[in-house]
Amino acid sequence: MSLRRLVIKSLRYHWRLHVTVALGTAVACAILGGSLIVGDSVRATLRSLARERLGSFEFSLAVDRFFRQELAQEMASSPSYPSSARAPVAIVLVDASATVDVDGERGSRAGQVSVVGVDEGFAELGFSRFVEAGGQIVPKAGQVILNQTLAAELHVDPGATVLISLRRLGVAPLESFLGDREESSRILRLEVGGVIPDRGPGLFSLRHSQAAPRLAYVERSDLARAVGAPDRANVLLVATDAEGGSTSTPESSKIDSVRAAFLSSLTLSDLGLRLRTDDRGFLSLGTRRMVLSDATVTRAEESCRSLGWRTDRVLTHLAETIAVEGRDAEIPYSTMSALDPAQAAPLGPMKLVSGATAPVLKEGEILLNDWAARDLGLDGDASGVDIRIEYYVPRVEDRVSTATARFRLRGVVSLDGAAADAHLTPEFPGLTDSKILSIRNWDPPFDMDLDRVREVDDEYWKDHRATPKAFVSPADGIRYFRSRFGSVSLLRLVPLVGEDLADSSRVFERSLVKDSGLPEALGFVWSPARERGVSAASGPTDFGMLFVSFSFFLIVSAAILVALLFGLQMDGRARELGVYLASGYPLRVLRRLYLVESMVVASCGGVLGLSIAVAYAWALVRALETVWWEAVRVPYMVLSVEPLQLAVSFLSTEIVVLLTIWFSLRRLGGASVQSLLAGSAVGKVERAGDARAVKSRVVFLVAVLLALGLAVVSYFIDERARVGVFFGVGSLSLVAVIAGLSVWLREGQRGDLSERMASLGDLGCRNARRAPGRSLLTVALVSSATFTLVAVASMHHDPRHDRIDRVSGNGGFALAATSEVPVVPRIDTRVGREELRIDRLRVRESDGVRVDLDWDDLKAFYFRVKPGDDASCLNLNAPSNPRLLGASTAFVERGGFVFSSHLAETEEEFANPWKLLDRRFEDGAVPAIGDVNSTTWILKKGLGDDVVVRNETGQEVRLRIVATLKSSLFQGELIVGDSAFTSHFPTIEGYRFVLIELDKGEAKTISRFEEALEVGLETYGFDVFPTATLIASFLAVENTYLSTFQLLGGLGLLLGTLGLGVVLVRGVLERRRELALLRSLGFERKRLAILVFAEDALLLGFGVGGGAVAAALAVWPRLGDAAATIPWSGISGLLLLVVTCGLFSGLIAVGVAVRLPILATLRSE
Amino acid sequence: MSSDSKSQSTLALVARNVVRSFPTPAEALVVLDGVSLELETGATLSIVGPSGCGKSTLLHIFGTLDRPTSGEVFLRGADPFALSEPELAGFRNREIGFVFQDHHLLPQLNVLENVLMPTLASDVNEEEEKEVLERALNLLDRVGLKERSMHVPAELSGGERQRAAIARALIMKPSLLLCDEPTGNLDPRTAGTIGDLLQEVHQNEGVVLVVVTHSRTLADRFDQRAQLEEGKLTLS
Repeated sequence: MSLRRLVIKSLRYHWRLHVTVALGTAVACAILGGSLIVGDSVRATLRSLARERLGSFEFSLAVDRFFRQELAQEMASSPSYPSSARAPVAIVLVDASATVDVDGERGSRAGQVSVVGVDEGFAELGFSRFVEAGGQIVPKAGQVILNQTLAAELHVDPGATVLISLRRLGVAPLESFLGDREESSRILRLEVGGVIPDRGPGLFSLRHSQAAPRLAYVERSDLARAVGAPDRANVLLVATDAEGGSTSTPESSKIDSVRAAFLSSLTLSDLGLRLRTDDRGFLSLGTRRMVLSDATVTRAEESCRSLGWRTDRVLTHLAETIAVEGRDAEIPYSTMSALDPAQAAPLGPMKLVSGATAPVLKEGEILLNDWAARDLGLDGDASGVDIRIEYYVPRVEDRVSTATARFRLRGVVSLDGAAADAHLTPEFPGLTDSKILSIRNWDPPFDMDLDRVREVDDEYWKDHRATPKAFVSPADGIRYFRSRFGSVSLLRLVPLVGEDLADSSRVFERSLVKDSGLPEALGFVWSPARERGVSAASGPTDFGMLFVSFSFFLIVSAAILVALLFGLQMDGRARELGVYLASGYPLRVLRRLYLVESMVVASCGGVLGLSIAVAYAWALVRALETVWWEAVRVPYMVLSVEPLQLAVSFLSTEIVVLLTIWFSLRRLGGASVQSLLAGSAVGKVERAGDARAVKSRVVFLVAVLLALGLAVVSYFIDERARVGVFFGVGSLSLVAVIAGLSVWLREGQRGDLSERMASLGDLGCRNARRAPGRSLLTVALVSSATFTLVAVASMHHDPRHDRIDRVSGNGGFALAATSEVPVVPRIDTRVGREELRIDRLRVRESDGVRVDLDWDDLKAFYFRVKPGDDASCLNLNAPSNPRLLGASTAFVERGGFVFSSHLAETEEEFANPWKLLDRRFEDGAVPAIGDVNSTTWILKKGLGDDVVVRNETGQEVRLRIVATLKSSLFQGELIVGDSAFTSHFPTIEGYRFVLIELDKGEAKTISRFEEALEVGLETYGFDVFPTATLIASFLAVENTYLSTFQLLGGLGLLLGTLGLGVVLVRGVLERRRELALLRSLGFERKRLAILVFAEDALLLGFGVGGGAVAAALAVWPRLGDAAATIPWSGISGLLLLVVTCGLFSGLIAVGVAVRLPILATLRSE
Repeated sequence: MSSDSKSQSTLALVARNVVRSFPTPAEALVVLDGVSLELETGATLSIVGPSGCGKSTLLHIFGTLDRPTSGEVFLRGADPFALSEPELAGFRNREIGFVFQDHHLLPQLNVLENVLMPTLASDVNEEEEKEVLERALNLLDRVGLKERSMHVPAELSGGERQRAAIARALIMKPSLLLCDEPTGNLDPRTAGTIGDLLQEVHQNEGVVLVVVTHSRTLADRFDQRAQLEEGKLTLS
C-alpha cells in the first residue's frame, strides 16, 4: 500500500467523475491546440505559396521601363555571373484587363490581370517540374494560356477568344503635351490555348500576396511588340537549382555576383538613354522619353565632374507660335531651346549676325536665328523688340493647351555653327527620324492646324529639320518648359581636350552605368525575391494568436467547466476527505494527493485534447479552404502540425487546469471534518458567507468602475489599444456580473413575486443559494458564451445597407474605378469625354431601350497610383511596399469620410483632416492617410508613425500617418498628396484610380454609369464597381472571421449548457429526498417542474443578461460609430438561442426530478 | 474527577472547563458548558445522553477535530490545540483512533487497504512498512476479517464494516480510541459482538477508550460511565 496505489485506486473507483474532468480538459486543450495549429498552418501555407509562386527563381529585377532582352544572355556570359545560378531569364510582365469576346459581343471581364510574356527558358528554368509533367506555359503565337483563377472568373475554356487591354508605351510621358493618349492602350485578341491549375507557374507573381493572381501567359515577343517595346523585356529572373524548395537565406555574395554581372552587361540603351558623338568634339546625352529625369542629369553631371569634363544643359521645347508683339507676322510650330548661347567651344559660342559673340542671356531675353528674324520682318538690328511666344504647356491637365510668354529680343544669331544644330531637338519618332519632306506630314498627338504651315516652313524643315529658331536663358527654360518629368532634354558633355570621342563615350557609359548608382536610382534593383516572399509570409496577422484571442472566453469556459466538474467531484467525495482528515492526513498531503490524481486525469484529458486539436484544426483549415475562404483567399491550405505547438498547447492547458484545480483544492481547508463526514462540503464555507459577500461586493464595485472607466477610455485611444480594452471591459463586466450574483446569493433576498408563485419560485431560487460556488460557475459559463456570441454578432456589418454619404466609409462616392492603363482625360468634362470618345455613350436598359447618360450628375476625383503590395486585410503577407495613391487637391478640398484619428492642429485641419496631406514636416516626412484597419493591423503603425518606402530614385521616404479613416474604401493603400506623390514618383503617369460622385445616387443611375464607363473605357481596362462592393470585399474578411468566432461562441454555449445541465441535475439528485418528500405531501409534478425551472431561470437570466450587458459595454465604442450598424435581429435571435439551450438544460433536470421514485427515495433516508 | 494528587503525566486525557458554543442569529448556542474530565492511561469511559446534547461534539473535541470555545484539553500531557495544523494532523494520526457510527470506509479500497490507509499519512520506511502490514493483518485476524481482507466495503455486512473500521482506528497504535455511536446502525446481536471487540482491543492495546452511545447495554460494559445533559458531564 502506498500513496501511489491510493491514487490509482481512486482513479479507478471515481473514473466516471474523472472522465468528465478529463473531457473538460480535452476541450480546453483542443481549442488552444487547434488555434495554434491553425495559425501555424496559415504560416506554412503562406511559406509554401511564397516558394511555389516563384518556382526555381530566387532573384528578380523588375522595372517599369524596358531593356534589351539580350541583356539576359550577356549577363550569363559575364565572368562575374555565379556558376551556381542558372542563366537569367528575361520576361515581360504587365498589368492588364481581360474580356471575353463571344461573337463580337463582350462577355465576362476581369481586371488586375498579370500578363506575362515568356519563352521556353522561363518554363524550363523556373518551372521544370511542371514542364516535365507535361504542363505547358508558353502558348503558340496568337494564343494565351490562363491560370485557373482567371479562366474561372472569365468563364472560359480553351478555344475561347479573350481580349487583353494593356498599356502601350508612348514616346513622351502621357501627361506631357507630346504624350499620345489615343495610342496609350492596345487590345490583344487571343485564343485561349490552355488553362493551367493554380499551382506552380499558375501562381507566378512578384508581389507578396497569398491570393492566386489572375495570370495570362503570352509569347514574349508578341507581348513585347504589343506594349511597344519589341525585343525588350522589363523583368529579369535568376533561377537556382532548388525549385520552390530552398528557404535558406541566399548568400549575399551570390546576389552581389548577379548584380555585378548585370551592371557589366547593362548599356545606356537599357536605361532608355542615348549618347551621341558630335563631330564638333562633344557628346550629347538624350533619352527616348524626350526629357531626362532629374536623377539621370544629376548622376551624369557627377560622372562628368569625376572625369573632369564640362557639361551643359539644354531644354528644347515646341512653340506653337513665334511672333513679334503687335505685328501680324508669325511663325508656326517651331522648336526653341533654353541654353547658354555664349558657351565656349566646342558647344559654342553662337555668333550674332553682326559677327559678335552671342551674349549670355538674362531672364526675359531671347535670341532668334536670322531665318526667323527675317521671316518676322525684323531686318537689321532689331534688339529690344518684344517677341511673343505661344508655347505648349508641358503638363496636360485635361487637354493640350498653350500659354504665352513674352521676351525682349536681345539679338539675332546666324543660322550656322552652334546655332545650326538640329540635334538640340530630341529625337521624336515620326518626326526627327523620318524622311518626311514636309512638316505637314507630321501626325502629332495634339491638334495641329496644318493650314498654318507655309511653304517657307517646309523649306526650313527640308534644310534645317528641327533646328531651334529661338533661344532663351536656362532660367526661362525652367520657368516655362519644365515639367515634373525633368528640365533637361539634352545634356552636352565636353571631354578633356585631346581625348578620343569614341573612347570618351565608352568611359562615360561605364562610369554612368557602373559607378554612378543611376541604374538603382531608376529602379534597376535586384531583389532576393524568394527570401523576401518567405519572409513576408510570416504575415502581419498571427492567425494562431487571433484564434487564441477569440477562443479566450471559450478556453476560460472550458476551465470553468473543469472547475465546476472538479468541484462537484470533490463535493461527492466529502466523506472520503473527512476520513482522511480524521485519520490525521495533513492538508498539504491531501492536496498533493488530489493534485497528483488530477494531474493524471488532466494529462489523459490533454492527450485526448491534442488528438481532438488536430481534428479540430483540420476542420478549421478545411473550412478556411472552403466556406471561410474569404478570410484567407488562398488557393490551398497546408495543415501543419508542429510538435512544439502541441507541447505548448498541452503544457498551457495542464497549467490552466491544474491551477483551476489547485484553486478548488483550497476549499478543502475551509470545511470542518464533521461537515465533511456528514457528506457536505459546505460547512465552514457557508459560515464564511458574510465575509465572502463583503469581498464580492468590493469586487463588484471595483469591476463595474473599471469596466465603465475603460469603456469611456476606449473612445480616446487608438484601434490597437481598443482590442485590449474590448477584452478588458468584457472580462471586467463578466467579473462584475459574477460578483453581483455572489452578493445576491449570499445575502440578497428575492424581490416580489405573486403570492402563490413566490413561495414555489422562491424555494426554487433558494436552491441556487445552496451551493453558491456552483451557481456562480454556471452563470460564468453561460455569460461567457452569451458575451462572445453577442459581442461578435454586434460587430457584423453589411455595407450594402449604408447610405451614400459624405460622412461614411464610402465618402459619398457611389462608384470607384481602377484602370490598367493610366487615364489622363477627365470623364467629368466634355473635353475629356470627347478625347476619351465616350461623350455619346448610351446605355441599353433591360427593356432594350437605349438611354442617354446625364453626365452633369457625375463628378470624378482622380488618384495617381504607385502599384505595390495590397495593404488591406485581404493580404495575409506583410506588405513591405504598400500601394500608394496620390490624392488631387480637389479631393483634399472636398473632404469627406469618417476619421478614426488624426493629428489636426489648426481649425482648418479639424474641419477637414484631409488637409493634413498638405502639411510640411521639417524632417522631410510625407504626410499620409490610411484606413485604421490597414495601418493598425497590416502595417502595424499608429498615428504619427512612419511607414518607410523607397521612391523612384531608390531613396527612402518616410510616410507619416497623420490621420486614419474608419471602415473606408481605402483599405488597400496609403494616400499622400498629389505634389508629394509626383515629386517622389515623377515618372508615374496619369491616373489609375477614380472615385465617382453621383448627384442622383439611385441604384439605376449607379448601374448605368457602371456599365457605360466599363464598356466605353474598355481599352483602358476600366473596372468600375460600386463602393459598397469594394467595402464589402474588405468586410467579407472581417465578417468571415466573425463567423468563425461566432462558431467558437457556439461551442462556448454548448459548454455553458452542459455546465448548467450538470449543475441542475446534480442539484436535483442532491435534493432528491426533499423532492420526494414534496411529492409525498401532494405536490404535483408540474409544481416540482416549476421549482426546478425557477433555479434554471435564475441562473440562465443572470448568465444571459450579464453576458449581454458585458458585450454591450465591450462594444461600446462601436455603438457611437457612424459606420456601425448593429444587427439587432441577429443578436435577438442569438439570445433566444442561448435561452432555448439553457431551458433545454432545465428540461433535463426537470425530467430527472419528476421521474424520481417517491418511496425508494424516501427509504434511502 | 479532577485529582491534583495525580500527576498529569499519568493522565491520558484531561479536559478542564471545556465550553463549546455555536453562534446563531439570536444568541450563542452553548452545547458544552464547562465540561471537565480526567482519564488515566488504560481507562474506559462511556458517555450517554439524549440526542443533540453534545456527545459527539465532546468526542470531536477530544479527537481534535473541533476546538473548544474555551477551556483546556490535554492529551498525554500535551495541549494539541497549541500545535500547528500540520503538527495537529500528525498528532491525530499517531495518538487518536476514530470509530464512527457510519463506518466511513473508502469504497475504492479493499479492507486491508482501508486498514492501512492511516499509515500513509506519514512517511513510512520499508521496514516499518512490513511491520504495519503485519499489524494490519493481525488486526484483521483479531476482528475476524482476515479472510475478507481483499474484499471491498460494498461486499461486507454492516458489522463487518464496523469491525474493519475498528481495525483501521487501531493501526497506528493510538493512545486514545474514540467511538461515536459505534453500534448505532447495527442490530443488537451484531452490536454485542462489536462491544466485545472493543473491550478486547482495549485490553490488548491498552488504549484509553471513550465511547459515545445511546445504548445502555454497551455503556455498561466500560469502567466509567458519564451522563451528558444540558452541557454538563456527570459521572454515574
